[in-house]
Amino acid sequence: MKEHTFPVQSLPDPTAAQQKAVESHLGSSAVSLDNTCLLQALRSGNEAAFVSLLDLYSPSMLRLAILYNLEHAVAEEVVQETWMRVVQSLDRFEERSSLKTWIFGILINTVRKCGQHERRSVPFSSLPISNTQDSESAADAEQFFPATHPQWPGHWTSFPKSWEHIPEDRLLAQETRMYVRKAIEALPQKQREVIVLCDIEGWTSDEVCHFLTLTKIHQRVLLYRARSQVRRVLDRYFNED
Amino acid sequence: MLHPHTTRGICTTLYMLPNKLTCKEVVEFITDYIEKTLLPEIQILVERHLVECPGCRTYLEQIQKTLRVLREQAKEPMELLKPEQKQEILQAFRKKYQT
Repeated sequence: MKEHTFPVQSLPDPTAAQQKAVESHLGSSAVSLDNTCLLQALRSGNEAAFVSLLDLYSPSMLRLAILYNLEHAVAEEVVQETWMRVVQSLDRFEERSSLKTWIFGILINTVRKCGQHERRSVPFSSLPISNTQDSESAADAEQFFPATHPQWPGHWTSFPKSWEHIPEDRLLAQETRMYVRKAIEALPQKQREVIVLCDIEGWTSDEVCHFLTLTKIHQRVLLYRARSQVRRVLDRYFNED
Repeated sequence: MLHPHTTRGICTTLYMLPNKLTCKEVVEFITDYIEKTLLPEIQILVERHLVECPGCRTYLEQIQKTLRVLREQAKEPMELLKPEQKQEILQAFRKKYQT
């Protein structure tokens, strides 16, 4: 079957305003797509608008689904199922959130409905850390003298080792990214969601709070813990040589 | 005791500001420091501590580099949907909104 392509210009019906709205909103890397014109275009069957939305969000959706420890093939199916649900529900979308938040909300619900057997296990032994317990306080506490210390309460027991010697290409190398991915996959779910959305997908803290129904403080705590854990993994990885 | 997450507009805890922060407190503030969401008084204390403490400067450097690596994850090429998956979705879209 010939694959159809849908350049915006070739569509017979969309109005100029609809096309312009689609192009201006989907052309940029900023993904806050809550424009009413876009929604109207989609609901009126503007296929180019819908294809652009598919192409824009599907990679992020796939990446997010994989970071929920889904096997790649299962993650693809989850993304597909999400879009099918988006199509069925688009006419009932009440715009209480942005379109992006709504779509990713459906994705997360679809991910959560996946059976446990679909998930990959992330062996802790694959990470250069001794444990991944959800206790930033317990892990960080080891690095500092206790509050009762006579000389250095709350100060480093030993300074962290600088990463200045790590060359740029190693910092951004595939292997480093793999350790980061594994560290994220081993995080507790809420921390994983926050760090992926904030630091990888570039969502604002307001978007994340709204999407995950978090207070600002809770979001900051989760982000702090998640970043600390990923830093810890990288620190051991870089210093294991 | 200083609440570690005192940020603009959401601090409801009364506290006495110390003259100096401990390393543990600075580490807990680092996310807010990077995001520039600390109250000015706390920002000054953090900056003062960073000037004096090589350990915390190193920690800041590590968190900043961790963020760089995290952002690189977004640049990893991810596949678009398989053609047959995309077709199925488009057919559902056409059926719902074009008929």
